[in-house]
Amino acid sequence: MTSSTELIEGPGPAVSPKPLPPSPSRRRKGNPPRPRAPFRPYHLFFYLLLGAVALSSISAYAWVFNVSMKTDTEFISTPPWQVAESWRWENYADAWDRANIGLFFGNSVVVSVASTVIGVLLAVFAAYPLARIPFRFSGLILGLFLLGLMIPWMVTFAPLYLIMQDLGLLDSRLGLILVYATYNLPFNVFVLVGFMKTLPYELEEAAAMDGAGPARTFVSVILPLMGPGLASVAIISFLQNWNEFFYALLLIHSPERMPLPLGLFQLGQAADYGTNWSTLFAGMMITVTPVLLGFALLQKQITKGLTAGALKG
Amino acid sequence: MVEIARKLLVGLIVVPCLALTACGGGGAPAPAAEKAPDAKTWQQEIKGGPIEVGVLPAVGTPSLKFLEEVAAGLEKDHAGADVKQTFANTKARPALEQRWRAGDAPDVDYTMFDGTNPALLEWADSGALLDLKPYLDQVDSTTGKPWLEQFSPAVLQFMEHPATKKIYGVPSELSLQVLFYNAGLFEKHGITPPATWDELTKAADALKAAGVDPIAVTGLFEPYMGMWSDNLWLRTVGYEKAYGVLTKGEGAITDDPGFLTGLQMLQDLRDRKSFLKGFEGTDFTAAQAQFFQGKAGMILMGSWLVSEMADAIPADFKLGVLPFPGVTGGTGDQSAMLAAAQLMSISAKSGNIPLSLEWIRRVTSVETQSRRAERIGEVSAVKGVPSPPGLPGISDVVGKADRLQAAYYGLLQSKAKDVVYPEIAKLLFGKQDAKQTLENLDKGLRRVHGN
Amino acid sequence: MHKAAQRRIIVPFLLPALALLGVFFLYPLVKTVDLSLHEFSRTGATTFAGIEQYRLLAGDPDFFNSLKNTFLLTLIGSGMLFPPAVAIAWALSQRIHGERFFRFVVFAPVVLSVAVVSLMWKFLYHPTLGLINPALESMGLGALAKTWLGDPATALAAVTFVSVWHGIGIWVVLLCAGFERLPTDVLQAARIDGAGEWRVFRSIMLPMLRDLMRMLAILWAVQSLQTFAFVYILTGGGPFGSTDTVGTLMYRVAFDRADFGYAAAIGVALVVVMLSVAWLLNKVMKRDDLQY
Repeated sequence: MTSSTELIEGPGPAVSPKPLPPSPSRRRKGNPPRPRAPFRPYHLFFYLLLGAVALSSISAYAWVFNVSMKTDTEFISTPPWQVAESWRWENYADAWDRANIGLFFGNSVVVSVASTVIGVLLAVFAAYPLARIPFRFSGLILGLFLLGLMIPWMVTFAPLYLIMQDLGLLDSRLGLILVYATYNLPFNVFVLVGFMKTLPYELEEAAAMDGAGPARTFVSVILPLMGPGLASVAIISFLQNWNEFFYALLLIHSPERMPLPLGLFQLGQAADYGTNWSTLFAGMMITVTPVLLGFALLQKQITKGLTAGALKG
Repeated sequence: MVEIARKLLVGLIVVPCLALTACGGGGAPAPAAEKAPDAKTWQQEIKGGPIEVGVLPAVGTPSLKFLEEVAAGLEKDHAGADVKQTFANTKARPALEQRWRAGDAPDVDYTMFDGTNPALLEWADSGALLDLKPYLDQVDSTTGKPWLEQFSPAVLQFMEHPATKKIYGVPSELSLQVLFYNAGLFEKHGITPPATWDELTKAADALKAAGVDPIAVTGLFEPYMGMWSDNLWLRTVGYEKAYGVLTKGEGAITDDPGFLTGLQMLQDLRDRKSFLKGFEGTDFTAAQAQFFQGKAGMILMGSWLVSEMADAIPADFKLGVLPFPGVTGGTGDQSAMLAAAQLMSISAKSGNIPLSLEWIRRVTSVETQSRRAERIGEVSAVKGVPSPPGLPGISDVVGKADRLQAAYYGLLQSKAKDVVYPEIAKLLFGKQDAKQTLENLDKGLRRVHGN
Repeated sequence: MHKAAQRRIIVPFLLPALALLGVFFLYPLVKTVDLSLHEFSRTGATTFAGIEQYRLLAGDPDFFNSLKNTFLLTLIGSGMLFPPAVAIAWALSQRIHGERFFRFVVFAPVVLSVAVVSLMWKFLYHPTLGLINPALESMGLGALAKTWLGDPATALAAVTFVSVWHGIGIWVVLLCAGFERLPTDVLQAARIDGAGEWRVFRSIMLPMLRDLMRMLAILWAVQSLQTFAFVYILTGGGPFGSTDTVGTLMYRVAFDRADFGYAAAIGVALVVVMLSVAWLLNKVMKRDDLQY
């Protein structure tokens, strides 16, 4: 560990002739945040545009919230915009108890986090030799990964189902995690290979001269520089895994293992077959609120992470 | 980009090479099936343990609560019994069928068999289902008669394999396609409940004049729109003929003029603006809810309507039930009724067949069925069960039906489903008239049936 | 010397990722081709059928309809997505008031799950109980009210809109990254030369963002050609097939009809079509700026 820290702090910046990969953000470096631009007439257009977007999102949420406070009969018998008669928080208790929202939420967190970690980790390892070590089949292997980017994954669902069954991974969270991680690989490898290619080749040579083996060089020299790239693929993977529906629908059938999208879909079914709208809408609010709060808190980090390592054209 | 494309091509060439190694591997070995218990002694062989049973009602509905009580009773009477209920209705079917194919089926499931639907005989033919006949033939100690005699003879055609005469399912309830009407509304406006098609159009016009949309229908689920053409063709063509043309591909739809007549009647109803405003974008639950809100006067639906909507029916709602109107001069069956028996089948590979048998026996017992009819409003296929009070007049309606015929003509599991119902939807949406509908149906049916 | 040492890590570094890719993607992919040459019964029994499935496919209007819808969705979607996304990203890069708030509302739907968004919009679109039509009517615009999801003329666009509404945040963020990376000196120079902001945007920013845009367009295409969840939940492919995509068709063929062979053939055909389109686009664009 000692020599490795030395390596980053020592020659690292020195050998890099150009600024390290995509400068995380111009304003953080050096100059303090630019002051708010003074109002100019063309800004009106921006405000109108953003205002319309904001209005549409907010009224959508407001509508769902309002409905979540109604009774089922109220929902169908009153005009859609009429404010609910009373605050029916018991709808929320219902959704939580009867509809297992908490359970779905927990499953979603476990599955999305685990698959994202695996997908990013394996991708960064795979990307390294592909980007920086010339070898015979590197083009071919990269091609295999890129194939995964071009081919719609659902094409393979039938055999995938049979394989999952053979491996005993059907209806299990582990199975879903592995599938999602695989699903993330092509994009992650694609972005990370591009990212690594922007690093100067002198890095490894300098490390080698200091006697570090290739594995250590990777861990202590390359990896620390990958921060922004890793952050952006991790965020994109996470969002994808959090939202994935098709494979969850295909591979999971026990309610106690369902992630949120599937759980809510089931709840939607319950509404279809049993008029439980208020539970459904309360369930939606329950799932939406913590995610939005979390996002509001981490907004800066998330958008910055995405911005920093994001695709370079 | 060129590079990427080149690499992709390389990938494409390599992948098939892997195929050489890939094409082995079959399904997993099935878990050792328990030997089916002896028909005489199975009730003594019941032992505890987990079983998974498919159920039709969704989470949170009174119907499911009812079944949970039945399950609790079973668990109480047999130590160690653990009944897991799995939602097995329409949209859950794909995943469940995949589990059957994979040999990982629930112990008891729905929609695995229907003696009137050739597409649903395959599971039985492949040995996936337990033959229930020996158990049904066994004399029940409490009634002194074979278990089978408990069921109404009209449903035997659904339960029985047409070729082997084995039985692969028992009905937990009966779904009848009937015309519901808002009796309060009809009384208020002095409208006679329609017994014939002409009366139906008159009632529709009268409702229209009173400012109520006459008929609730969903535009987002095609088979429910198809109920109208299905029932009309039953009257104007007859079941056997229509079944032959639509599902089996025998002859052409243009051969019998009754098909066109039926479509023209439907077009006429459409042209009178009889369907719910905005039905094209209305989900079936919302359409049903609007009927119970008095925003539409009638709805053609399965008899499950009342149990499904139990929570959304206003206390003072007066419901009327009618058979689908007869067609004067129609050459089809004027008093047959489209119906489906919701059959529970047992997996031949079930690890606990006695307990599974006990589950279906309890669900279909006269006692359970009677309580269920009263509390939930399901129509029973068991003899001696009173008609559900929530469905006034249903026993009359059933009594008048001379024959139950398979709902949807068994189309739902056939390729012709994607031909027939979309065309009917187009007709209802006003995209084409009856003639064009017939032509398109003819073209589509010829394509899928290859005739 | 260190080159030789480096070679030793190639296999262990690549192996885990390749193993996953092999087991869960490449092998099923190969197997799909194999399945497409077979006929399946409902119970899963197979018989070899040769190219019969492909012969059927060539004459199947449902397949071509779904292919058409899938491409339409991609096309309409890019029209709905990119102009506003670019405009929003441009606006957010201007450091206007309320930037943080606007960033939040634009990105917020991205973190919601597809199921929530679809179910929500299914109700918002509802002709009489929803949000849009009653709102239009109360504004006196009742004539604009449509049965959005129930009208084949609007259903596909309505579904596409939901998927764009859900995902636009991510594209905005990626575009913002592009805007932030524009060289400030060049922009300033142009402004000092008296170029209006619109001119700066059109003649300097847009051209500089072209490569990023092309990249994003490809990503969008790949993503939307696989659209499944939105369609499945919102319309199930209806009304009468007007929103049926290849994804929903495959799902229906495989599971409703239990015809896995045919579903696999559809999948293989889709891959072939997609790769040809990619190849064609490539020919047309004739630029290899994504080269590694």
